[in-house]
Amino acid sequence: MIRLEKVSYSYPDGTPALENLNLVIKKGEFIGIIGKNGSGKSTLALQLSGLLKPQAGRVMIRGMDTRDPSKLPEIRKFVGIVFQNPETQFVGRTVEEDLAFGPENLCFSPMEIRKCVDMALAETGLEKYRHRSPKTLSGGQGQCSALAGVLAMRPECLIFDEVTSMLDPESGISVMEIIKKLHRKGKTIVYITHNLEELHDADRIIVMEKGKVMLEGEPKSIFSDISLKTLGFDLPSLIELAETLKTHGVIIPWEKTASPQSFAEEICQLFLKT
Amino acid sequence: MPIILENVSFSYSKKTPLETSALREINLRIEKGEFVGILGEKGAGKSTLTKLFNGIFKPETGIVRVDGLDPSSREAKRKIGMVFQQAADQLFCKTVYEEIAFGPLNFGYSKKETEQRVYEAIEAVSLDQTELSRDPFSLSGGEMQRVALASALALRPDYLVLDEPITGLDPIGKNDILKTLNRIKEKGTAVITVTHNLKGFFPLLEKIVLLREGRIAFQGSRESYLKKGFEPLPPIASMMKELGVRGLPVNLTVFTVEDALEEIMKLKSILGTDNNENK
Amino acid sequence: MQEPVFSYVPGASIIHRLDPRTKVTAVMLLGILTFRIDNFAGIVALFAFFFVLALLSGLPVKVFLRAVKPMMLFIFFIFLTQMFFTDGRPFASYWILQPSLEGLEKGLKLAARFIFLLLFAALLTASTDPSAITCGVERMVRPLPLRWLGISSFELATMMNISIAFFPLLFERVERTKAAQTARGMDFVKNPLRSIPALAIPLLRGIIRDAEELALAMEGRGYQGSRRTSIHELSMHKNDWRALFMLALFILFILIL
Repeated sequence: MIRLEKVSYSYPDGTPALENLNLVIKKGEFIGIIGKNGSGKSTLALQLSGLLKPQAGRVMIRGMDTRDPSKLPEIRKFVGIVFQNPETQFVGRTVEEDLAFGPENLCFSPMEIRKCVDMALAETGLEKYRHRSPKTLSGGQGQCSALAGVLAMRPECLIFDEVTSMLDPESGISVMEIIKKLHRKGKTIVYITHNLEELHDADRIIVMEKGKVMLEGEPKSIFSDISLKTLGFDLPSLIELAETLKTHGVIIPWEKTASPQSFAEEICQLFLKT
Repeated sequence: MPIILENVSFSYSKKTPLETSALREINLRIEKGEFVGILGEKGAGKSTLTKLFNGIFKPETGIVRVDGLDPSSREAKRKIGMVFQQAADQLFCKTVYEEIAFGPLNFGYSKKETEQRVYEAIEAVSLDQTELSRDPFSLSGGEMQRVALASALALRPDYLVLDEPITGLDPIGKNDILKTLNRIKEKGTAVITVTHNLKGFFPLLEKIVLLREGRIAFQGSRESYLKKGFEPLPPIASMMKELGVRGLPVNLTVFTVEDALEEIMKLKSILGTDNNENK
Repeated sequence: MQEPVFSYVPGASIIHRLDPRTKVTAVMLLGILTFRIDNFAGIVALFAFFFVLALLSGLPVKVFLRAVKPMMLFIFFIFLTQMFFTDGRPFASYWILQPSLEGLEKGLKLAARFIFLLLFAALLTASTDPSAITCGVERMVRPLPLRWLGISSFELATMMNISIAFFPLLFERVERTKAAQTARGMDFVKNPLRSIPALAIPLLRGIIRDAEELALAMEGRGYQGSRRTSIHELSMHKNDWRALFMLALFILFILIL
């Protein structure tokens, strides 16, 4: 669906951001991408959405080369990207108008635009804010609105670049819920984050370091990889606890490490069973 | 002498239809040298509270005193260092050096004294001297946050007040700031921080102030916060609470992986089941 | 928070439903007309016309008061200067000032013109969604050879929309920087000269960074600065043509009067 072939890219000052990167993203996948600042994650996100062109190698989005300008409108329709700061993603005076921006660029008719907007509002539960200014929304609602703005273009693949990092935990969880729902409905999700807890249910995690893929695999295997800690990542506490318990002979299945409730439930079952 | 709030209330947009009460009947006392966490959901009034400490907001009723001084007085401003959310909007000079020197120069310290304070401040936040000539806007998020910290520290404040200091940073940046704050506290400066990141901050907090809908729901030591079962909690403590809810005899004050391991192994030996071996 | 002057008041009146192009054209024509009127009968007729439109729009009176009020002092000043500094038959004498009858007439007319401009502008902005106005303007200037200026009518409209949407952000940014500077001992009352550059520089840099992020987000949503459609359905209905026809009649009537 999206394929990176030997992609390299350097920042204008010459520092390499991506080096000879190969990556395939399959349809319907939920991919988590983690990495330190400057590891090339955000550059990768821009490459995947066709907003940056590779300096070497190529990015193929559903068979379309991102370097081909004539394919850009088609690519935009296919991949949407949501960024970290909701404030700098608003172009409309009201939520409705903001959501219309994408479909307007695709030259849809006013009728179609309305349909897209209504659909995006319903997906994100923002109907009641339709006529509000996006600036007056809280951080979490703002980010939902930014997501809805992208959804209104009906993309099949959505890229999220640290969308919850500026939100409080509750808002972060509610944005995450929407993203998971979209994934269940068949959208392909590329999710960049520093918060490993958000990636518990991901299909695959990619660890970036210095413009390269350091590790790649299921969350279960990635999180138990010792090198993750040496790379400076904090494991989610519950997973870390499960890992240490394992060395003491207490085995907590992976699925149960998702929340404190399920973890406690499992311990009760282990210890109280008679 | 401490920071004292007595019966403080505060509303936004007073005398307009949009008037919203942000804080109600706040009584609070923060001693020198404490590490205090201000917790609560969004909209609970956490950021508003910090802005009362340095006089950006004036209380509607009640009094705020910083070591007995009016918080909007110059002397009180010098005692309180503030670091707000979004470091990028707090940096406005051409070089890191000018940025950190801005405060001391404003308070009329000599060039020599200021220079000494700048070097002291960058040491405290472990910034390299070579960074001093850089443009603050060319720094990474974590570095910007450290410069903002250093700028506040250059006034040698007695209280350092922070609003979500590690939000938006990568794990390395986060741990860096946490270590730095701990060092600052060790040197005797009170650190008061609004935070959602319990996993990172919990081990450092000595005192917790929990706000709920503009009122103080709890203030006291971390141990009594845990014992009384208040929320939010870091994940491990939350799990321990869940075990308690399910009737297991657990120590609720546990919140680190190491202590939790010990607790669970203890449980295992008390309850004496060995399901794993049966399997 | 007080509502800003010239803000949109949603509604479903016949005036609200007119095509923005009809309204923009009407306001432009009426604006020109106010400066062509040279007798009081015309002024009265124009006021009657405005009154009917205002009634039809169903907008509250305060919308119009709010538009005129801030300019009242300025209008009064113009009235006075006209009255005192126009040569003609004096009707009274205060010290060296001799207000003339001609001046009084001229002053009243000029004041009325300014008030009409404000009233019609308020009628337009209060009954039309700002983005519909930009959209209407975009359609109207589309045939113009803007390409010579290096922009397209689409870019122009998007620029107008974004500036409306982006403006409040600036204030927030200034507030944040100001708070940070106050906390580090900056005294804005004592140092007004230092404070302006101290706020302007980070503001500018902030805007540049914001604009880069915004541009990326816009591009990601398919913006290319070329042809685009709009959610606002612009179609001239029978009512629009009727309204324009009546307007033409009215203008003709005034000019003959």
